[in-house]
Amino acid sequence: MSVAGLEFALIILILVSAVITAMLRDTLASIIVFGAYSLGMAMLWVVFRAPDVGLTEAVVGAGVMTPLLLLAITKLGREDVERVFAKIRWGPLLGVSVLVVLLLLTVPALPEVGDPDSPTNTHVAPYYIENAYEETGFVNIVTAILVGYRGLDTFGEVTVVFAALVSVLAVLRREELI
Amino acid sequence: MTLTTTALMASAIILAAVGIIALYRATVGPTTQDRVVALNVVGTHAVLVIALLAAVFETHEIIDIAIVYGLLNFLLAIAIAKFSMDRGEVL
Amino acid sequence: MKRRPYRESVIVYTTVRLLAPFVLAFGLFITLHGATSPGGGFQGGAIMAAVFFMLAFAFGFHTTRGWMGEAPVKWLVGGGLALFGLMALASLALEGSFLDYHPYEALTGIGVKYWGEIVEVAIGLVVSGGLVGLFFLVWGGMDPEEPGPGSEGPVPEEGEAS
Repeated sequence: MSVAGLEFALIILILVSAVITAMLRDTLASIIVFGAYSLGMAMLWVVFRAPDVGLTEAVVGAGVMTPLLLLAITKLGREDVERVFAKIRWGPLLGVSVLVVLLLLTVPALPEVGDPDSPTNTHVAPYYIENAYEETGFVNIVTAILVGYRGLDTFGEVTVVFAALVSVLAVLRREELI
Repeated sequence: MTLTTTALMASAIILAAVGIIALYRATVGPTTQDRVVALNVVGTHAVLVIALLAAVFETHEIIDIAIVYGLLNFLLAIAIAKFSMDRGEVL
Repeated sequence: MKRRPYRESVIVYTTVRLLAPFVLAFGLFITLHGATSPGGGFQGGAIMAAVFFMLAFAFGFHTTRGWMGEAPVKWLVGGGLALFGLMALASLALEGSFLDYHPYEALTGIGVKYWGEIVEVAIGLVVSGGLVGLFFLVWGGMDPEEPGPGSEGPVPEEGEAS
């Protein structure tokens, strides 16, 4: 029961920080609150017993995303603002609210978390769980799937990182990184 | 759940709730320094909550995430502190 | 409020100098230990890139660039991708299938796990090099001639090259 209590507290933290991030006028304050959002997400992934995802969120949120965003606002400039929150525009808010309500209506149709009969748990997942250790020797099944069974996908991902760097160079019309 | 895990879980919930209060300072804090300290409070609470969860779930691998946060919170603080200082530039 | 000129804090760069080796070691641990604990190449590579960010924030961009140069980024990204591709293709030459580690085990007697770790290291190289390269590019911006923030950098009194 108390796991549910912690989930509740963390989801409140995440929702509040997400809304504040969107509403703050000052970009630097917005980035700081976004850091709090990523901290909450990492804690929530740990509660859901997904330590690999939690570690990724921790590293990317605290170590990579915030420095890159800070660098970006030094280039964009930061204007002095007199009011803390941005003015709410009611038309877009109404549109987004309708979309959120429509999406929330589909939530009851999703299988329960951890349901053994859900489609994600009935096709390839049982095979990985039963055979991953014997076939690869990896204790961490996430890594076994990442570099073993789904190695081709990972190869594609790494190529995407490479292509991102090359394409930024191409867009900036530069041949040197520095 | 034993009494110990219940107590650990209750402390984790309280820490997460206090993190929400720190968000108030991060939002209205008149200066950037207030906001950096508030973010550091949330970061320290994240380290503690993750370490408490490692004790509750009895999975010591989770401690790795707490260590990463312990190391990277410092980076977060100096990055924001550096960019909020007046250097005769835009920021 | 009277504004003073910016001066680098001694505390920041001393702490970064103390902390950076440990963060780098932890990134290597996460990369190499992905088989038995959470983590792997993506996370470990991002931590190693964070070490670079830390140094750049503490010592100034141009100082860090002077220590590092541009070549390591290119070698990390290109070499990592080449290592991954080599691991994928070499098993074809050993009559296995694409990205199959079992031919290597049959050839050398070293378990599949350790060949997977080589792939993790390759991922870590690409991710760390890619993030550092993006950091360079964002800092440089559209105009390479324009000096970025922190261009003057701090001037530590001694032991700068350590």
